[in-house]
Amino acid sequence: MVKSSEAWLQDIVAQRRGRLKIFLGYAAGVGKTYRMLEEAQTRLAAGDDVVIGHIESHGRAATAALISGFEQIPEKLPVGQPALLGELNVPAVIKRRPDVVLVDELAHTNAASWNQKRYQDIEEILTSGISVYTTINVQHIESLHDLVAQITGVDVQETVPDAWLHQADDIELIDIDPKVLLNRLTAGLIYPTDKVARAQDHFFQLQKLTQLREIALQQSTQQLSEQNAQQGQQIRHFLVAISPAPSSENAIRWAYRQASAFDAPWTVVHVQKSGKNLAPTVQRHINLAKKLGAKTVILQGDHVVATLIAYIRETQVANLIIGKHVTRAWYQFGRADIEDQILAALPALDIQIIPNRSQVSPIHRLLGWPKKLTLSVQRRDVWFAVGMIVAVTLINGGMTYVTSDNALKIMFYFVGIIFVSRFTQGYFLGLATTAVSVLLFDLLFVRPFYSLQFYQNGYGIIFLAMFVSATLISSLTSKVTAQMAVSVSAATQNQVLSDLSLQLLTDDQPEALSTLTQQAIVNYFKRSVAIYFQRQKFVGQMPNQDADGPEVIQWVWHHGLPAGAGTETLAGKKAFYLPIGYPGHTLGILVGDGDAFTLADRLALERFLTPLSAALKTFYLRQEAQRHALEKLDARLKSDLLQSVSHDLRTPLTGILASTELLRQDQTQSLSNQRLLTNINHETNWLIQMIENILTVTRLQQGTIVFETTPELVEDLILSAIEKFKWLHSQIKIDLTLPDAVIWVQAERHIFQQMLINIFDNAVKYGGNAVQIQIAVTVAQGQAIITIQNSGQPFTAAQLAKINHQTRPNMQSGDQQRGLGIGLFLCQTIAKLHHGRLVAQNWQGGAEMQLSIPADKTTA
Amino acid sequence: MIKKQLLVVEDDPTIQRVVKQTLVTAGFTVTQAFNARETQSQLMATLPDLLVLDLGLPDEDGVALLKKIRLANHVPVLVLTARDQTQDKLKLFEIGVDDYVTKPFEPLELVARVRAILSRTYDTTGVGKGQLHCGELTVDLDAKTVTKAGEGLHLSQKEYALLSLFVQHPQKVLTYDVLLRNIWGTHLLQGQSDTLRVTMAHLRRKIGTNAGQQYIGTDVGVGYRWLAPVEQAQYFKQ
Repeated sequence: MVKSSEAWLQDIVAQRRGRLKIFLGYAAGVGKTYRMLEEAQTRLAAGDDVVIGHIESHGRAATAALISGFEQIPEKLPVGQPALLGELNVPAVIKRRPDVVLVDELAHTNAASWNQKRYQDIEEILTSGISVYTTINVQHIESLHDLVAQITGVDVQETVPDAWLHQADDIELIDIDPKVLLNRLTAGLIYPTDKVARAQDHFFQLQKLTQLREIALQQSTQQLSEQNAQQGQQIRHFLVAISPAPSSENAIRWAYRQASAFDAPWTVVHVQKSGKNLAPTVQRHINLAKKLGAKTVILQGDHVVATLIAYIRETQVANLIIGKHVTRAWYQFGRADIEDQILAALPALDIQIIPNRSQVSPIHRLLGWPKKLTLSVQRRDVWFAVGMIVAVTLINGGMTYVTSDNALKIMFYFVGIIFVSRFTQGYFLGLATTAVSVLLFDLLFVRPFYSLQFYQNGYGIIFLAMFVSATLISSLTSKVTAQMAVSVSAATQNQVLSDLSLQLLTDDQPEALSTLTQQAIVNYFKRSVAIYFQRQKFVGQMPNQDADGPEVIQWVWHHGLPAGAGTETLAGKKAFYLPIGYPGHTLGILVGDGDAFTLADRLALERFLTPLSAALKTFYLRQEAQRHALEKLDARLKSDLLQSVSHDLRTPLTGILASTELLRQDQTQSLSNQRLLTNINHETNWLIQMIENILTVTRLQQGTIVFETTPELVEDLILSAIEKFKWLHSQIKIDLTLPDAVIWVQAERHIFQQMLINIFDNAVKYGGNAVQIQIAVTVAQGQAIITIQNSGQPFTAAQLAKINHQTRPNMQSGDQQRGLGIGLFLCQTIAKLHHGRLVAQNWQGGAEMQLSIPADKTTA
Repeated sequence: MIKKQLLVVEDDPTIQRVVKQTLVTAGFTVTQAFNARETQSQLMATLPDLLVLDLGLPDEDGVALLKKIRLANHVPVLVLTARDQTQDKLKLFEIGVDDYVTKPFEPLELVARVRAILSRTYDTTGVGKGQLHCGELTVDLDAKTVTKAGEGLHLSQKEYALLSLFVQHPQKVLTYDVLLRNIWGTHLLQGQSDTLRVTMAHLRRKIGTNAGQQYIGTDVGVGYRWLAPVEQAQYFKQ
């Protein structure tokens, strides 16, 4: 099926992501929304299609006045709730397809919407090719959250991940003097008068505002330097070691700021004691780290410091960040600091210690710990301990007839304690056996017999030594036992995983691969899951499904992010959905019951999905390679064809053009012949231009022009285009006015020039017999504006409408005015591809075309 | 004065005829060749001063033919081409083409290019010294000063270096790579043409226009060409 030219040109435009512009402020009332609306009005006046998605005017009159000029997309009102505040209606915006949509309050949390956060809404809009303007205050930026909380004492709940903010194409800082802001507040311009006093107490104090302003300035310059920074210079890698302690959260945020300042990768690592589930606080820390863009690693090991040292050695990280409680000296007595132990092993390591300022009293902590001791003891173990003690005591009783040496009896009790510790679970029975053994020994074998008293002084010390060493032995043995159990379970998991990897090698079809993985998961976890290997097809058993399951599947497939229970999107669902594959390439989805899998289980689940991801990727890559080879052959044939067609078309035209030119130079020609020759000349020029346009359209369609922009000087593009234009129109006079500044834009230089030549050509045609064109370049509000004027007749209203509203050229009825044919339509498309805009209008001397595209940077 | 001898290679008879007539009218002697085989024999037989070569020949690819010719012969070459992609042009300069004209072209443009190549190649009196006049500009290569309409023009070191290189090679395309090597002593790597292009933009503003025409022609992505005619000061020609 052949697509209409309009359809495919729209496809080309839609493939590009919309631009994101963020208006950043440091407090309410600095004028973010106002500034955003101002900018939007400029765009609207320039002919862009700008609509309002969601704006909160807070009853400020100046803002409300600005809003009235815009079309508003009807908001979605939450069902069953008092309709105080509507939510951004994402499907309606996407359906309306404006150039730019305005959405206030980026950090907003949706009350009842598909996405939990507004930034997720905006992400969807951007993906569909629509540009977005939005606003945010610094305190809502995730990594700055606690910094701002410390300064202002106000804890903000709604935050936006920095990783997401970093994709903004433009950030505009709305910076006003804090004193001016305070004046505005007292004048009642920000809040209603009754709330002013309260605001002054909390937030609006000169010192706080000045600090906030500083942070905002820093943030915007950092973003700039990131945009300019060259890639490929990884100097550092930051590693954060975390524990359940609250100081870890500070450490993570600190590490994030460091890593983004150095543009370095960073990893958050947690050492998990063997055989325990992840503490909820650790899980929270890990979620935070992921949100801030860190890689997260969980290591299994009993000795935290040793495991950490091994990991650092292996990864050769040079910077370690740890959080630390500021503790009293007495509490630390006898413990080596964790950082000292690490430094002893790795003297070259850079360690940064981030203190925790939250005050938790040591008493509270001491009272807190006994709760963790669980006294669950199995009956079998108790009988074993009792039996052991009875057996050892009987043997010792027998021994009294052989020897009176008590040292031997102590040895036998030790043997008993070791056995009990080794073969029972936990510490408790080992300790109890120790206590009972010491008591029995004193009671039965130390004079006076059958009493807890003893005559010989040495026995007190012996009992104490016996108790201490037995306790140590007991705890060590218990630890070894527990560790063995864990390594057995880790070994089982590894065994299952490596078996799975081997099995996956035996097949290469997505369905078979997914079935193997699904069975391995069911065998290991004893719980059912389903794996989608295509959008509609799955293997395994779907858990109790939510009503809109298929839509969630579509969403996850599109975004490549987890959704459902325990995640950030659609947390209210019963099931959870894990994407399989790589960022930007979802190859499958795992669906499981949210209640059946704990968070720790899900981490293990991800390990099961890794081999499947790799196998599926191999499959699709192979498929892709085959298709690619065919396409490449096809493209080469097409490109060869184009090359020879363009050669074959240009050659005869060159002949015609050169022949007529020679004839025209012959002064003996009659006047009517001269006129005929001029006609041939003009028609040939038109034909050449037409063929160039058709070739460009064909190249765009065939994909032989890869639309890749490079930074170009506006004047280079214009001068180059003028020179080419003059080869065919040597009689035309062109005036060029350049600004003092040198302007860079992102352009595909070949088709950009093609567009300019077409515009010049039209300027000549519409100028009647205009032999003069004026071109002026200016720069305003980040846009490079190229104005092309002629001094002929103005455009008629019908022509203006036709050009500005981008109607497809009417091919059937023939084109009476050739200039409005494919040429201007192509110009509009090329302008759009450059995120630009082409507008036709009239000036007092004639017709005018104005092209504006975003300026990359300007150099004075 | 002896007429310069040109060899025109073009397989299309119409263009061949037009080009020949244009060049003969302009005062050159022209021999013709219609394919690669004829070109090689004519090169031996007529020892032309300049070769005008169309790249689309029936029996051999023009680029391959050029490489073969360049192995033994340093005759200046002007290429006629229908390919206007940046990459194609850069490839031509790499294999030692002196200039190119893109089809469709104006006959007078072709004559101007031919004259410029010939005078660059064969008229080398006083190169690199003395005063050069061009429109309102006067470039003194010995004193390293530039005046515009009699008034001194303040140029930075790099701007002057660029200007003097251009006026000494009028009508010749100087690619980004050539300019960077000659003036900055670096090679063209990705993105490094920025400084050159900004310096050119400044130079362009300082020298202004020659009666409404640009002094310097721009082919974005390829390079620049000095357009205005340059004259050597009289007393040096003696």
